[in-house]
Amino acid sequence: MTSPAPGITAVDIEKWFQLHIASLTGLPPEEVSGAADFESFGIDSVQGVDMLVALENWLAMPDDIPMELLFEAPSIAEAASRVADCKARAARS
Amino acid sequence: MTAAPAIEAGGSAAAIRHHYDVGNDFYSAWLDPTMAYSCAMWDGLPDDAPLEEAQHRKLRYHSESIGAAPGMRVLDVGCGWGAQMRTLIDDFGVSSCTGLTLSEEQAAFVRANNGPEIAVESTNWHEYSPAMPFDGIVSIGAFEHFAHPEQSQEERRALYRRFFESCLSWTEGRGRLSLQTIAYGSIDAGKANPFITTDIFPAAELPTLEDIVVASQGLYRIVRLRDDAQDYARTCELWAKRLRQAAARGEAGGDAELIDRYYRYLRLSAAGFSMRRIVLLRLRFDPIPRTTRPPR
Repeated sequence: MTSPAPGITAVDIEKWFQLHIASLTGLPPEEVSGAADFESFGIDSVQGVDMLVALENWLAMPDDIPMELLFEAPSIAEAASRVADCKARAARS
Repeated sequence: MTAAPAIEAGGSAAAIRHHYDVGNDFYSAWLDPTMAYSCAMWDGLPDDAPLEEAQHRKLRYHSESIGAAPGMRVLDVGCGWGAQMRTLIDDFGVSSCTGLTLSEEQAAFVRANNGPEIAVESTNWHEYSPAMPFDGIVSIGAFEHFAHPEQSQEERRALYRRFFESCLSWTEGRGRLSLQTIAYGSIDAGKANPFITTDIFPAAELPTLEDIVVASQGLYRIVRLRDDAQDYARTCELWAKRLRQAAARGEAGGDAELIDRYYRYLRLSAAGFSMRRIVLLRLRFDPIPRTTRPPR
């Protein structure tokens, strides 16, 4: 994964999730729908926490994304939006 | 807290050592200076109060819970590295404490860092028989180890009841008990989330609040109950952060696999508490006098 551009958006994060889940599941990225939730891809907790850590590293915000923010989101797109908000808050503080 | 493998009734020494004997240096790299490896308490403190302050708050809470006072003798079941006993003696004037732990490394640490006012025994609680009665008992983060998943609910509750009966006998029916334990929260409610289910506690079997109520019925009155799951989420988040930072400085030892495993475990646990799939109970038990205790 490349480093994020400063103006990273929820759309970029959603794309990151799709690529990450595609690499975990072997599905083509276009089949990882942003409308689906993480659970529907059968990702277990260890894969989930690894995904979180990889995302935090990509966004250069270690320890700063609460895991439940991903898992309680009704869809990947919504999770991406919440992560973008989280990043914006972290940038302001 | 623990991700120990299958344990026998009462918590096998092997299971406890598997989790806790990975090295005092490893834990001291990311625990706060009290070395308290259990949920801290932010009640009455600002949300951003440091971990060490919140651990001291927790240690005082349990001391107050048993009515700790000068001259008392207190038993700590699952004493860890001894922080609770130190607080009881230094801040509340308790005259002596005995700690039980199955971890040899913890026992050695407690012996090396304390005087004769603190005794430590590497004994399982269900084999323990004190020479003199105690005036109060504290048990933090040990109850989680007592049962294992192969036991039926009935067997687990019988085991828990044996613990409460033992506590009564160790205090001759007169001392309070302050208990802190992780318990199942909404694990049965709604659909299971595969992210946060069995991986957090793969083999140790947690109690439910109902188990505790049923097991202590007629022996102790529950006079105070708190669910501080959010405190444990925060504690785990802070531990994870401290572990990652210590590892980055090269201060968490050279075992990258161990660091990685604990980091994941702490992040997962934080989420489990935040989502209330698991909760953190703090209970104060007052003994029911024998004369009014119903026959069994």
